[in-house]
Amino acid sequence: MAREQIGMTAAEVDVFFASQRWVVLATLDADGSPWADLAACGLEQGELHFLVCRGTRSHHNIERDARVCASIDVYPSYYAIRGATAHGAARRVDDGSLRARIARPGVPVADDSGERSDLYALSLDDVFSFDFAKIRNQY
Amino acid sequence: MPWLVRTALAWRAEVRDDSVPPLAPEVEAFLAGSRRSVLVTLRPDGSPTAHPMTALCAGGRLAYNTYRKSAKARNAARDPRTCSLLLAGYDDSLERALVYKGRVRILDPASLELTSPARARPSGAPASGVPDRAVTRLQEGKRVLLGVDADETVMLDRSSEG
Repeated sequence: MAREQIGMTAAEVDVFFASQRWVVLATLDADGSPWADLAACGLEQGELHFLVCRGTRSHHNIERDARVCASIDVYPSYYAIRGATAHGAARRVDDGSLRARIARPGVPVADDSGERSDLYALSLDDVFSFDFAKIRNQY
Repeated sequence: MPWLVRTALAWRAEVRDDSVPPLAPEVEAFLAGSRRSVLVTLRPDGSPTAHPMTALCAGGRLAYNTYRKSAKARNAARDPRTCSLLLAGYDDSLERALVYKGRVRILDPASLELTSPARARPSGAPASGVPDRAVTRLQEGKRVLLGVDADETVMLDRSSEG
């Protein structure tokens, strides 16, 4: 039996990421093993942008190997569970105004000044997602 | 009501595995109280991928209940190196988190003690154990219990930040 498809459309993924303030950011340590951290994020110009504080393990990892993934899920109730994971190569972006928009006060995973962190962009070309509202048989 | 929520019989792994080095008390306490996690595994090309998962605590280590044929189980079978990020809940509180880096191995569910859920869950929160249907599928071998032996744990505490 074919597996039920409950993924989001590209447009739904955009809306979902646009509503998130932070993601779990996965990077690669020097030995190729994975590392995970939290990063403030925002969707700008169709790409996921995220901030990584300089000097952190995640920052060192990205500067050495740009392959990352960013993931977030929400669980307001069982059939409202949604989540998305974006994969790709992070690209550093030098845009002060964009960085200031991402580093919103109240998101304690980046400095609000933006002076101690770098901004990266990740395209949404390789995304896995799920939306439990699309499950056909709900009990 | 979904099977994940309505289950009357869930089980929690209460038996400590002596082959697993003990976690720091702070880490163990956070792990025991945390259900929200993202498991990071490696794709065949070595790039990272992430799987939002309900975290379990089995035998003094982080564990996950998943389908044997799932991408995460296949990734971990090919390369057991993983890293998980655990949060206290779904309330968007980011003050404390646990980074749990380790290697996956398949646990034998028969070696773990089955108990009924002993505590009430907050409304809408994920189950603290494995629902009865999942237990059946574990016994059938369709699902597996992935235990993660910790190589490194880091508590992230941002309670003093903005």
